[in-house]
Amino acid sequence: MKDLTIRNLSKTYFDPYAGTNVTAVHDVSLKVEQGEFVCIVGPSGCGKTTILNMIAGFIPHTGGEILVGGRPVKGPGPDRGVVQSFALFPWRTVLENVAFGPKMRGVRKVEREKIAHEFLALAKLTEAAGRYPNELSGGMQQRVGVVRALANEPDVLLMDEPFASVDAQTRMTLQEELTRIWQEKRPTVIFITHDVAEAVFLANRVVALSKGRVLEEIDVDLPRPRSWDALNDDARFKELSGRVLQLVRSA
Amino acid sequence: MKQFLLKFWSHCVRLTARWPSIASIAPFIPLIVAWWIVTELQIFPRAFLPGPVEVVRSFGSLVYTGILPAYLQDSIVRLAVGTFWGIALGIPLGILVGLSQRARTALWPLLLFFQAIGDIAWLPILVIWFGYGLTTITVVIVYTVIFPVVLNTVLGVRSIPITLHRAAQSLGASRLRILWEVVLPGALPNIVTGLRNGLGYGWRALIATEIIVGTSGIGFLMFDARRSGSVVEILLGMIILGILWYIVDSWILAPIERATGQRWGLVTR
Repeated sequence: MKDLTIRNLSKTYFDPYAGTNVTAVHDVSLKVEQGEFVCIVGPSGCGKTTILNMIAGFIPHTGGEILVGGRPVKGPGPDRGVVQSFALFPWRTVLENVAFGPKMRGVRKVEREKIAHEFLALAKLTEAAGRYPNELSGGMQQRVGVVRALANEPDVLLMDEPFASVDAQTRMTLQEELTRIWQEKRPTVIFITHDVAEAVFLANRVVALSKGRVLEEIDVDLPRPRSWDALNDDARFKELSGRVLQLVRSA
Repeated sequence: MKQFLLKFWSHCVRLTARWPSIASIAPFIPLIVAWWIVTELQIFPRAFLPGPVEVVRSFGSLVYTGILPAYLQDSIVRLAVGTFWGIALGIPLGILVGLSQRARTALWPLLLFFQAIGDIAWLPILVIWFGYGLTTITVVIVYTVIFPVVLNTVLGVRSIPITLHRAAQSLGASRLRILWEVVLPGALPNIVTGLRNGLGYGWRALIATEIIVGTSGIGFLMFDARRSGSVVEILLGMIILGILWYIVDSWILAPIERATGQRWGLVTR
């Protein structure tokens, strides 16, 4: 696990239909300490997924720099685990999906399956090990996606609205599970969402983003472990959520 | 009577459940019976439309003399050789065109142009170049098989979501590993579809080519029978074509499809 530093990051691209340059991300600076859980929250089109794609190295940035543990990012790499939409390999079983990262590192079959089983157990997915992704529910697929990224032991875990496409009840369970796993493994996490309550529930720090600029950073000092039962009526939680919501809406 | 029919029906259902191959034969039974009745009633002269019994008898004698097994082998070997090269050239080409924008720009118009010149349209010039031999036949089959394989492979490669490429990259896969772990399996259902089409077209092209340039093979058997006025052997040839294709499709191609695309949920059952 390492820290992540973003300095004056910007992204400008040419829009061939409008015939003009569009700036999606303006001069964003952010410092994420090792083992910290940071949520970036903002409305659709605020540039949050663009930022994540640049940190992941999927798209090049046009200004500033991104450093993971002091080293600049050049293209995608296994030091940054990514959880983005349904990106499980349909032709691989759940176990093989989770063992994929170690396999690419050259870990032997027995060893990597042991790792995979261990991480599957962490997310209570032991039963699903031999199944194919299309045989799982949406919520289970999301969990496999998270576990697959974790099993590769990245320095930074990048999550792009991983729980957006599951029902509200499942989402709450997944959020609680994620905080539990985070406490156990303490990875450095950047979590993108448009859901203010989700951001406050999960994070140590929430970064409100609007139109490609950072509006404000808010520290979340809620105690852990966190559960929805306890936080739903918690005054501090409501206060923080209200503040973030106001920020996001005002923009 | 009703009791008897119900009993018979349940017997049939149990039988087909135990041996699914019976279910694939059953639809042909009424067809054969109708054919047999028409010939027995002498609606058409026997020489024009022989019955099933004559065809079976002719099958027996052609197998006995060794002509049919030899011709069948020739046809199948030609198809296998042509298909092998069609796949060996078609899949890499399809992956190249599917992955590289530059290759697509350069090759796509050429592919479409040459696809339009049907396989048989090449025969006149191929006969001049290579004569009446195996080379001509192989070229025609490769030509026929390669287009469906290439075009479907391109489609398959391009239909793989970018998120899968990205996931593999950020799990540490090199470009070569991505080709093997993501691109090939992701395109496989489409490749099988292309193969299925390609083999079907190739099979037809083979028969047509054998009729024109052949000295053996099922197509030649049928054309030779026409010369000697043996409708029985023409019918036999047609039936063998149908049966062979059925076997290739249901014993080789369909199981591959079930084990890949359907198993992974990429193709609806």
